[in-house]
Amino acid sequence: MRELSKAEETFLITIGRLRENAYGVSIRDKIAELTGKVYTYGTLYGLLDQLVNRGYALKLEGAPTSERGGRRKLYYRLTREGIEALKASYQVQQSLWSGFDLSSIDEGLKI
Amino acid sequence: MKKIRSDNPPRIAEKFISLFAHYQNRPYILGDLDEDFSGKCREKGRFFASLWYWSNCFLILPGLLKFNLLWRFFMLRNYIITAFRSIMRHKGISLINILGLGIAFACSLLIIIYINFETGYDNYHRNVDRIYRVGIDIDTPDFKRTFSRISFPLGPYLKENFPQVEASGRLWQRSNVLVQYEGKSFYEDRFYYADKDIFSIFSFSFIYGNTTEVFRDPGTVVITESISGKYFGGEDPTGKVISVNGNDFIVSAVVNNAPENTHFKYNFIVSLNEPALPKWIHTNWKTTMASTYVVLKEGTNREAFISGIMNKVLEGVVDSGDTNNYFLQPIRDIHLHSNLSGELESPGDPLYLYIFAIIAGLILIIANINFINISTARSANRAKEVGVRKVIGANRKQLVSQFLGESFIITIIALIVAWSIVFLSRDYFGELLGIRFTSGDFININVALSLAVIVFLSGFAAGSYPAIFLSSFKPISVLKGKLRSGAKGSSLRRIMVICQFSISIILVASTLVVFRQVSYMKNEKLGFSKEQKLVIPVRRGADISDNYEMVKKEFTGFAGIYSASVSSGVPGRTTQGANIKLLNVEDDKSQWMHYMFVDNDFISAFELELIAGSSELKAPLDESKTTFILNETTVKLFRWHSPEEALTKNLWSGYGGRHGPVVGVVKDFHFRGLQQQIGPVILNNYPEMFRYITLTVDTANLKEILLFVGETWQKLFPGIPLEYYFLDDMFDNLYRSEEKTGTLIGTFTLLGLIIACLGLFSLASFIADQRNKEIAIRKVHGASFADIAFLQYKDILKWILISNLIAWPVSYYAAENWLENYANRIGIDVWLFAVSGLATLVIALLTISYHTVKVASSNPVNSLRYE
Repeated sequence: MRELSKAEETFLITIGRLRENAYGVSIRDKIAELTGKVYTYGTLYGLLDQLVNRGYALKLEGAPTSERGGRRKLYYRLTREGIEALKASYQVQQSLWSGFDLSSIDEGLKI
Repeated sequence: MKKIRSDNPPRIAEKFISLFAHYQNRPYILGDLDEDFSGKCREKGRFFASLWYWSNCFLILPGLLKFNLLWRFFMLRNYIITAFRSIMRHKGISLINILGLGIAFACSLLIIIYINFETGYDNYHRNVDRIYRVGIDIDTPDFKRTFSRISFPLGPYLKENFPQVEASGRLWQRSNVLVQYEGKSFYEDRFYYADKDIFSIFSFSFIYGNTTEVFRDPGTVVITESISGKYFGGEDPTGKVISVNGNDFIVSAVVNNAPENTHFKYNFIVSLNEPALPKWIHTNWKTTMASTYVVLKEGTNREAFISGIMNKVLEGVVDSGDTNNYFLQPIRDIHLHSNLSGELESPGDPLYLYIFAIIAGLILIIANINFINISTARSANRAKEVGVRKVIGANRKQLVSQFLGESFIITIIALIVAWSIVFLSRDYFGELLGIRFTSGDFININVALSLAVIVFLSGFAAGSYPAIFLSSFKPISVLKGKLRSGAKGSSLRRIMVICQFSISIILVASTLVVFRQVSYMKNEKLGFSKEQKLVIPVRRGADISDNYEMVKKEFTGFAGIYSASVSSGVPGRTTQGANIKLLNVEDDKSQWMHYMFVDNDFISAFELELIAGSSELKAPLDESKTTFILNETTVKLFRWHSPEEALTKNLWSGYGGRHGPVVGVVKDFHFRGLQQQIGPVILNNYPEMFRYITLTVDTANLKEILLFVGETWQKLFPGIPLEYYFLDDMFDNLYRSEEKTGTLIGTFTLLGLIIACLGLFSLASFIADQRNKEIAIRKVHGASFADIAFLQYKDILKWILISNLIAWPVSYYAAENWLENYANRIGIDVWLFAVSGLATLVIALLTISYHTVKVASSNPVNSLRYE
């Protein structure tokens, strides 16, 4: 299985965390809150399209709200593949980090 | 779902984003932004929110472009590749398409350039929208005429008394000015007296000298670059002295040459305040001599300004005589929409612009029909391709874009071809029109825009039918082979071919009509002899009013010169005009008519036919007594019953108040050329007016005669340049513009016909392909070569006969309309149309002959062996 890129991973995690409420504004805000990185909507939707194309997420249209000038929200959900990919990614992270303590590294090793 | 909210995001910013966002994500991105916007509005206020929205507009761009345009580019590249493949696979067809469209584009491009040139007259001035020429409408019981020139004092008066006038300047055009410098001497025509303000009203650029130096001192002249080169060989001429009609003028500045498209083409400009000019021009309010231009301040109401002048006129402050109406002409309208007395140059005719625009449109239609016809005819072959594409999963939209893409690529290649044709033919074209085009005439925004529109429309028109038609095929029926090859749209194809050939026949017939009219005008009897006439204009510096008999003797003393005559004008040139009335009849209304002042030999030299009285035109014995000879039209104008009755009358002439009896009447002759009606003309002997010497010469030994004429002239008028021309050449020149128009229409007609034939040729090949098997079976059953050939010709024959039915009335109507402009015109004969129709038919039959013969002589086995 293809490994997720950092950005894809961030997006998928955010979508997963937001559960039923993952759409443009909330995803953008959540990512900003979690990582401090502010995406413009242009880049955001580009990446989201990519996730959908690769089958990690799917799009669902919501009801139009007056708050958005009568426009619909586009909700994102994780697909089975998306969840699998996240799991795989998590395992890689785990195996990378397990048994490794950052504070135990001696800075003096620097040459 | 209209929302009622006070905190809408900025409209324009929204539009901006939707422009770039991919259509699938567009509403969601906008929605998200809108939501964010309302949040920001509540927190920090509307102003800040708007600011944020706008900045986001631009921040969002890289992301949008990266993810969407990239895909679009890939798709575009894909279309281009498939289109090129398709073009390369069918080289012959593509070539015909590209060539046809290319020629059509080249024609329309040339015509657009010409129209743009003509409509762009005087567009280069800085304040062009506010520059007007003041004209006058003189309407008295005796006299009714509209002039483009007004009296001299009015121009400065307008500037002083009307706050709306920012600047006013006058021009006084002079011709036949004798200019001399160090042994070079020429008669110059583009010579103007002008106000200094002219240099700020019109746009000049100075090569030597500057605006402040212009007209600072009396006796100075401003010349153009080309004149500087002609007299001074290009070195700085400022400070040098030239002789103008014998007076010395110092060159004070050199300005750029007048552009080709201005109505005011200058070469020499001298101040109107020269002390040598007569004083009365500054005080006489009744002349119509000064072309006067005003620059109105911005926002000036033209009507109010004009009625302001009219009030002054009524109050008698502006004393210009009877109830005259003043009017303003925008400077841009002068070339095409003004044909008044005293125009600085003969104006253009918008009629020809319309004609050319229509021709361009017709040729484009012919070329586009080719394109559509070929595409639909090929639909049989392409149907399978469409079927396969559809099965694989292409949706209709993709197919439409593919076909449109193909047609646009062909259009763009055709455009490149067109540019090359235009580039190669521009000198020939410019020569035909008598215009020296600059590169700026070819490459400018108007031309580019109109071309873009034409290319877009052609690409769309030619591509859209096949795109929609082909993409609608049902894959299953196509692949099963149910679709009869090219059966669909064959009636449309028929209509289109008929349309093409109707246009072709109309164009051919129009060309024939124009050429017939030109040759009619060239060959029609004029009522006088124009053959073997050598005309010598006598201009300033030479004078023959006292010694013309001696001058005539000098010239006739040579073997090859049969006769000499002097006159105020020769037939074909403008004549003088004045009033005339019956002598000693009080209540007689005076008649305005043409005058030709001629000597005793004029009537015999020009072989005018005398129908009553004598041809004796005695030189006047004293200042007031004279004799007159009239033409038939004048007799009719006076309502006399016969030429003999005219001989009993005495006339009083508006020219110097001379009076005397009518001694003769001549048959009408075309003294103004055949474009105009024969008017009333009076012949009168008035030596002060003699300006031309006409010699009847033996053209066989022209060389010696010209040598003799040159020597005699130098003996008579030493130092004055000799000019001469032949009268028949001058008459041919009168019809030059018709001839040029004819040649142009002929050229375009030929090109249109070629395009139509290209289309027919490829269509014939498709039809032959389709009927391949049918013909093979016919042959097997015993059909002869002739039977098969007739089968093929029959269709075309039918189509062209129908085209003729459509084309004849249309071309009759068009020709009738055009010929209405001519006082002396040809009748429209049926044979003109018959020839056009027949010629088109023959060309069309020849075009399809290649395929016809090929099919008719082919071996049926080759077509049938696969069955």
